[in-house]
Amino acid sequence: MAKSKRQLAMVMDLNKCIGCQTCTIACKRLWTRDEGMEYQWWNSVNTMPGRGTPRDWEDMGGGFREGKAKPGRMPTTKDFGEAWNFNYDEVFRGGKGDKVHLKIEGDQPDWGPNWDEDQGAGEYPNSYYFYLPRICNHCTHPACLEACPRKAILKREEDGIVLIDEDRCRGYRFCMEACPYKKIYFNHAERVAQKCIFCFPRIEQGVANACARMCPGRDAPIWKLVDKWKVAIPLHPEYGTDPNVFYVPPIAPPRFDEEGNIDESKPRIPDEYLVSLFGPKVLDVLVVLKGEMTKTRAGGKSELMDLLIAYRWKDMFGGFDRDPATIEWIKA
Amino acid sequence: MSGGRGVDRRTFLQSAAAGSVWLGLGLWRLQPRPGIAATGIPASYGDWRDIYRERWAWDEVVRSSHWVNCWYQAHCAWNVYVKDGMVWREEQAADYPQVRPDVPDFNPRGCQKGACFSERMYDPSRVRYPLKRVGERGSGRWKRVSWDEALDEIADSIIDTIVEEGSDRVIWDPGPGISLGTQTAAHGRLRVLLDSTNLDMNTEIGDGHRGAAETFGKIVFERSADDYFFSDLILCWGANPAYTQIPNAHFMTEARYKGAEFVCITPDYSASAMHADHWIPVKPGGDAALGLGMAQVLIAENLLDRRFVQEQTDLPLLVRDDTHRFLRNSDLEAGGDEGELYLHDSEQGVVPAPRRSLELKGLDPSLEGRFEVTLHDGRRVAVRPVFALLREQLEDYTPEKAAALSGTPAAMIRSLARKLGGAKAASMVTTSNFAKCYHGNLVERAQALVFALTGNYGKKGSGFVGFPFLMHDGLDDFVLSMFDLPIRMFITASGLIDEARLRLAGWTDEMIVYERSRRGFESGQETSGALFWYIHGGLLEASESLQDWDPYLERPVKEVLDESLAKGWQHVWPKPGNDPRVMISLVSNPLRRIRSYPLVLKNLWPKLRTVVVVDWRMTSTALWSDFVLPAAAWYERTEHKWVTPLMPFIHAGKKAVSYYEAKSDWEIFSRMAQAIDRRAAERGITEFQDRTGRTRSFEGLYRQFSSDGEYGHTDDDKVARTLIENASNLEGVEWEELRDRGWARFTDVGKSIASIGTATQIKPNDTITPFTDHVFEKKPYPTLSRRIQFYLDQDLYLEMKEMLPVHKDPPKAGGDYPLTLSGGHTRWSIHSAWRDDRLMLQQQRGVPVAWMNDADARARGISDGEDVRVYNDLDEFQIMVKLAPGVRRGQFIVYHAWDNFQFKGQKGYQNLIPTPLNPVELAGGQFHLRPMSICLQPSHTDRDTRVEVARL
Amino acid sequence: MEASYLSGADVGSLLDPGGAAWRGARSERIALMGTPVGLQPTEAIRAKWIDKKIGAIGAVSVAALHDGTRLAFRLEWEDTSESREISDTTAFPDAAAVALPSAEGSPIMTMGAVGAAVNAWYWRADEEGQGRQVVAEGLGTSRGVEGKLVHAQGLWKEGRWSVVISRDLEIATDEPVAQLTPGQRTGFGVTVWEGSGGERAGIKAFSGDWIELVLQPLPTARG
Repeated sequence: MAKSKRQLAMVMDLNKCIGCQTCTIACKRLWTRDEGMEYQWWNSVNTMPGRGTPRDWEDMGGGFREGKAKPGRMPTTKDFGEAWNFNYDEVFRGGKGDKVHLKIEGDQPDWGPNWDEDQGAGEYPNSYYFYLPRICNHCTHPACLEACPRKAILKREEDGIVLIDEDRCRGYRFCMEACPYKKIYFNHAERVAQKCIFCFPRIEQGVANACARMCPGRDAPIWKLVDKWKVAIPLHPEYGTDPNVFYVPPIAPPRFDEEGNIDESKPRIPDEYLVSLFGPKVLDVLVVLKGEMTKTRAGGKSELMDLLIAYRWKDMFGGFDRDPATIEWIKA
Repeated sequence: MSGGRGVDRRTFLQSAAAGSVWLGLGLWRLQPRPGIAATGIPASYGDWRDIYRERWAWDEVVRSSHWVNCWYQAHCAWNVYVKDGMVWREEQAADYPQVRPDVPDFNPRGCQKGACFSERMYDPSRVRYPLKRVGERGSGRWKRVSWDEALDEIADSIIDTIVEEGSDRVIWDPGPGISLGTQTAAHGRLRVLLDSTNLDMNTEIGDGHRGAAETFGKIVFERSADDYFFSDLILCWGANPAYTQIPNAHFMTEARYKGAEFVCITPDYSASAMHADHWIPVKPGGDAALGLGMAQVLIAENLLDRRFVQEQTDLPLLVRDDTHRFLRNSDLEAGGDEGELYLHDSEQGVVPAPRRSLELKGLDPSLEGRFEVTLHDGRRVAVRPVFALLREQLEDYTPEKAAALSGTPAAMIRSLARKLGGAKAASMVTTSNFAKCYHGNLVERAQALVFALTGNYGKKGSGFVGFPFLMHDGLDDFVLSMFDLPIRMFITASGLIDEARLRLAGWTDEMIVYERSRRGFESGQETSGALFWYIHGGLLEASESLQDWDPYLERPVKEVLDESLAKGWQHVWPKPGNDPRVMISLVSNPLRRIRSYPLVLKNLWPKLRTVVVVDWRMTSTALWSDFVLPAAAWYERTEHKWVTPLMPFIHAGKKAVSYYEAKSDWEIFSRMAQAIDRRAAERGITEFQDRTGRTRSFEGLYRQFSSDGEYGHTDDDKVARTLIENASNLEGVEWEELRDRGWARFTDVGKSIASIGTATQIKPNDTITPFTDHVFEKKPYPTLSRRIQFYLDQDLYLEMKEMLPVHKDPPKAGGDYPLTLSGGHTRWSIHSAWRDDRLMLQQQRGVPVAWMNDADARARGISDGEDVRVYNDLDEFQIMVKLAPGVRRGQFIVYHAWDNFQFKGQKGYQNLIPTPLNPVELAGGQFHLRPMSICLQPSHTDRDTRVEVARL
Repeated sequence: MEASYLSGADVGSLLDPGGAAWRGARSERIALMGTPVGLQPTEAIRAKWIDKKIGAIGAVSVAALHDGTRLAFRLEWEDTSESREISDTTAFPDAAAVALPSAEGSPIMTMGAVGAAVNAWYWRADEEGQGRQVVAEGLGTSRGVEGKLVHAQGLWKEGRWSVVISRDLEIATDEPVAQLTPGQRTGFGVTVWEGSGGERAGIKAFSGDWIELVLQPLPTARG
């Protein structure tokens, strides 16, 4: 396959992510509001450890093992979480008083896109959790693209964005089975597969992605973090798709011993858990991060810390810093 | 071509229109910004990618924001993207300037709630037309009426009430949606003209910060969020900024990268604790003990800023051994000054403490020792500095003893105290959590103490903080200017004379501002919402068992209340026995908000002749009202709004779209004023007596409201211009520019009661640190002692033995049950404004949930996602349980603001919360303990509620 | 197999699988086989289906009629589950197709070749009434043909699908579709997808090499 001439990438700093879901909503309001898309959340943020979105996606296979396609399973709509509607009219104007209350119409769900929010793992007071925002990884070796029998998925040469050609797509959903991150949805109204488009219409106009530009936590999409400092690493590198979304791994406060005193002998978030998510490199990254934090704690300077801080917000977008409000559209 | 999607050029148009229901998408082409002329290149369906390109396009961009009480996170400049006359979506404007190159800028500010208001504003919760109730109250049966019909009926009810029973029986209940901008200008004019009773809801909602008020004589003081960049220690003590300060949170995570240590002190491992360098677990209600334990270490290990303690605090002031009261000038001289207090100087002996300035001028006040003084009657009494009393009392709070009370291990208390003692600049993350605890004042006093002992005020990046608030000060003048000239001159002149007198007596500007408010409380221009609901709403009924719940209480609180009202320590309007008749709730939702609201429904509602709700959405209160008037939602009106020093930019915006018959608040109240004026004339009613007995005229009501026609029904923009012109703290800001740009940085804290307390200068190129006026300019604090005051000698404090901050076990409010029902602001809504929002619910569980420790649940056989029955002595309700090991055992957390109609039987969790009235909050009579706007009134609390849960 | 000429048939009846036009039409039973896993176009599909049976439907009964303007096939097969709606992300509709060579020698096993296209007419249970037409010049090259030219309608009753797929004999298009005339001798193939078994795309049962199809000539005009 021809390599893209340029590859856009994104860095998400898990030490800044506060789980506010502004990215999730920014994406929802921009792209997935039409019929058939109600249940789609191209951007989702989950509490980790957790079953995630779609439910148990890490156990569904797909991707590659030792370079060979690994069979994958497709999430059900219930795994993703169905779109809910509520009986507003009945409650507000139905004349039924307190005999009714606001509820989800139809079957009561047992899952949703953020169902296990802030639950996490461990045992009090050594409980732990953190947030993991996810979009399509726009992989360098996209399992979805390779799985599609209709060649309906393309990776753009000019920027490496992976797109599903919705004119070609016949809704066979082999891509949904093959994507190991389970970030592809099926549009029941249009009967095509859909997923994060990396906001290509914005990118085409020099405007950063909605999730990144609207993030109040100021996650940091900066190449230096990946290439120079190597503190941003992909999620589940063992899936073999070579993702282009990178994460700065989370550092949690120390855990406690039986008396409730600080116990620095092991971390609050078990190393094994982080390794299971980000691979063994995550431990080296944590050493670098903590080392640089120690420097600034002692009053010293650190280029890495300055990069992660991002004093000027506009500097975070690698040149895609156009204000969308300056664009004028004309009706044809 | 055709394809899988079955879309070609023709169906493209159809499906685009169908998919978006109310938004017919046109075909668009991008015009490069400077460049080729807009020639209207014929658009065609190229391929599927055009669908996405079209989806993103818009007609017009309008600057706006969400005029709701986001408080700490207020405000954010948004661009509203309008397409075909509807708001299509919104995105942060993100064009705030960087204040200093070495601190991050404020961009992009916003949150998930703001990012979906474009959907919320068109959802089925909206009120489209004026509604009149046709069934029983609460039945949800409505009839659509015209604006004229609604306003005429409401006007008649107001006129009848004023004439038959008194103007104070008309109650205005402004809620958290008030802007203190154009909207409030309208409400302010009408209520003042009608001499109505206006509820101050601040202590009722639980934001009274009594401990801060007791200590500093005020509650408003806060830094700018970028000031954290100068902290080396940040205490997130009882706060959860990851939920409640979404757009500010990056300053904290970034300050941590810059080198600050971020320490989170909370019972639960919260979304904020996960980002801390240290998380310090504490028992709910154990925070005062933790603070006092730290204070003990600071003193025992001499980690004090002695000079700060001597100059800025009351710790050197002398207290009589016999009475436990401050030594006063009136003790030493017959007829002497009650307010003049004393300290002991190693050379000069016992001398009056500096009063007009904090400057010590060579004094070296003693912190220890016992001295004898001769009273004016010749008796000799021993006196000791507050510091010595404090040190002695802190023997009860050695880290080991404090550990038992707070649940925090002794070693951790020690190390935290040492961190604080060694910090160059320690700051605190704002929280109103403790203001919602019965003994929260004691916690805040203890917190304020550890920051004072270590001199952490006034320096950049330092300080315990109170109630963040920042508004322009142009509102009062606007309300006043409606009066005819003679009245206006009289008010202005008497104000000036009064002010001059106080200034001569050494009062500072802020003391004068607070004094004016205190007079308003005495005369009834404003009244305590908390007391109003306790007395007129019948909430006191729930405090009847308080003596069983609170082991420290020795007499019924009702007795203390009667004493307080009789002595004029506290006030309530209308006077007890005078039943309220009309209530106008303005973007307020009291039946959701008030703890034990069923008592209000039982006791107050039957007395009310007319309940009017002005809101953009249906709320629990709207469901129980007689009229619902559709207010313009946030993108539908030109408005500007208060913020906080955390984000010191005033925000403004322009009306982007209209919605059915919704009107701006200015227009609603302007029309209401006109209706009252006209109906009174039609009915031949010309005048009424106000509560002082003066005769006022109905005739000319609207003329005055409109300033002789200067401001018409739809002149929101003109009103705003005048308000901004009036403001002293927006120097050089022009309204039109502010409105179109969306923001302007404040140039000063101004003279408003809600802002002046921050007591600092706002410099254009610097962060904001509170209290520089006190710490560096040596301006006295607005307290009895003119210092940061830790010793309180008012009768009730003596009675309750709370002269100094102490730890008290929380009452078992609601009965002796094993779980503590607590809460906190949610990530998912601002008050109830988004609580029933479809998208926000989809990101939760769609129904109200309570958080519980997994072991506590296991012990009761409860599993995740199960609906349970929650009960105590008051009542019960049902809720889904969510299990989390981050929740401490014994906690049962229901986050803020679920509307009652979201619960089975429409019975919400508030009905289990008795909000017991704490007797010390009825104090008054002393300089700074007298009630004033937003503080020093009794408050409503909820964090001490005890419950049990069981499977259904 | 012959596509009989049916004079003056009511079009509605011709398009309806239960229509009177089909009464007495001669059906031919055609055995189907699963597409071999090795022929599946992508590694992911092969990996997923390596141990699974492909081609759940073993045989289909086919009849064909034309009225001089339009050619219609009726396909009937046993299927205990009616999979119409895509009720979930994991659900697939039953489907069937008839393939015709666009040119002499178009290879069916590879879905055509460059310059020798295969033309397929589709029915999918979730797209009732609206058939679809594609041309392909090799595996994975299929493209849609613009316009609603194929009519397809299915009826499921008592464990049996009856589906009519039809198109005008000749249509105006630049695409290399099969252009037909009465009297022509050509070939056809049949494919059936069993939705409940997750069959779609190359996961299907098909009839193998071209089956001969003769379009009965129009009767010669008399007198």
